[in-house]
Amino acid sequence: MEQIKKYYPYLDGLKGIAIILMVMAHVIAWSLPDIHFLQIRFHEMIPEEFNASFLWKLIYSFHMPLLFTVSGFLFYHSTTYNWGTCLKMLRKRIVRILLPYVVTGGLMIFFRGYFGYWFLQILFIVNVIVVLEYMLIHYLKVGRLCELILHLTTYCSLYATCRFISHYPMPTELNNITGLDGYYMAFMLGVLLRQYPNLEKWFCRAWVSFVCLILYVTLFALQNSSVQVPLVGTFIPLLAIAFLYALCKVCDFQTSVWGGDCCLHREKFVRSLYIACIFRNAISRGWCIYYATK
Amino acid sequence: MPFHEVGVYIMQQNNLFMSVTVQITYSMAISVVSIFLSIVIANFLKKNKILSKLLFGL
Repeated sequence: MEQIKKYYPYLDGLKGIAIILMVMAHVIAWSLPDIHFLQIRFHEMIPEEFNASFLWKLIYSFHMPLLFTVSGFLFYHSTTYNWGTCLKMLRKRIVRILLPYVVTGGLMIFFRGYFGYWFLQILFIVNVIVVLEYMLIHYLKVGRLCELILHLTTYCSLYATCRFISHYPMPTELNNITGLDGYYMAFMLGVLLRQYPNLEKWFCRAWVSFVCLILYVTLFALQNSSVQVPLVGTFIPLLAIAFLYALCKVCDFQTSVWGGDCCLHREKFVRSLYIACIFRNAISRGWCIYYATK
Repeated sequence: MPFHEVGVYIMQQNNLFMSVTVQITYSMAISVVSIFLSIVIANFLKKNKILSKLLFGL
């Protein structure tokens, strides 16, 4: 039996943040006269390029995975997975995701010269993978540990496949397939947050959010430095998403944005944000000193 | 819709906080206008059932 549909007001806050950030990042990139420096690391840039790219890189480190997490959260329904329900779910995804992808893709070829919105393509593939995963889980009647192992195995397989195909030239329309593993992780984070309320409660603890924020800032700095750390690109968005999710849930933007109870909840995050500001200032000061002495 | 003159101005900034503030202000203003216009157009397109199905899957 399907769950009763419930409205989650803080998801609107998360979606709003993600949408605004996405448009902001596109506006910044489209306004700049030359964007080649947006793909290189901070230590290879001149100061003007660093100043112009910092915000863009910050937004691009988590904004699309955030939308995939929201999609994953809304995906999960505790229902019986058999061939009938799976076909019904896949049919719904074809109508809701694949059909708009094909139609808008055709329009994009006409207006911009290339096919489709890549995120619809990736979202459809991730949805199919997760539907098949849950069908396997319910068919085999495995416990939570085996379910987690299955998800990790799927991620590892996707990671290996994406690294393999990234060595070959791809058409423009399929370029973003090489990031499928990261988007799968973000989607699964949303699914698991909905599936396991205790996990959600754990993420909403102030000290967990604080650690996520500090780790995010640290890994963001590492990713854009000369230090090569494997799998950093996968964990950076997850940490930012965990922090924002907790912030939106605790603040509850929809119902009590300006209410007194919201202010009390926000105090839990004031310390985290204060220390994060000091951290950010220390990193940017360190960067300026590094560049000045280079 | 983006203004290349603003992009050139952003590239000329030496101060990080000034550059980030200009970027946030400028991109937020354009974003709000763009999102508002997108919602208006989407509400208009949703009135047609066929277009709504083809473009939004609804």
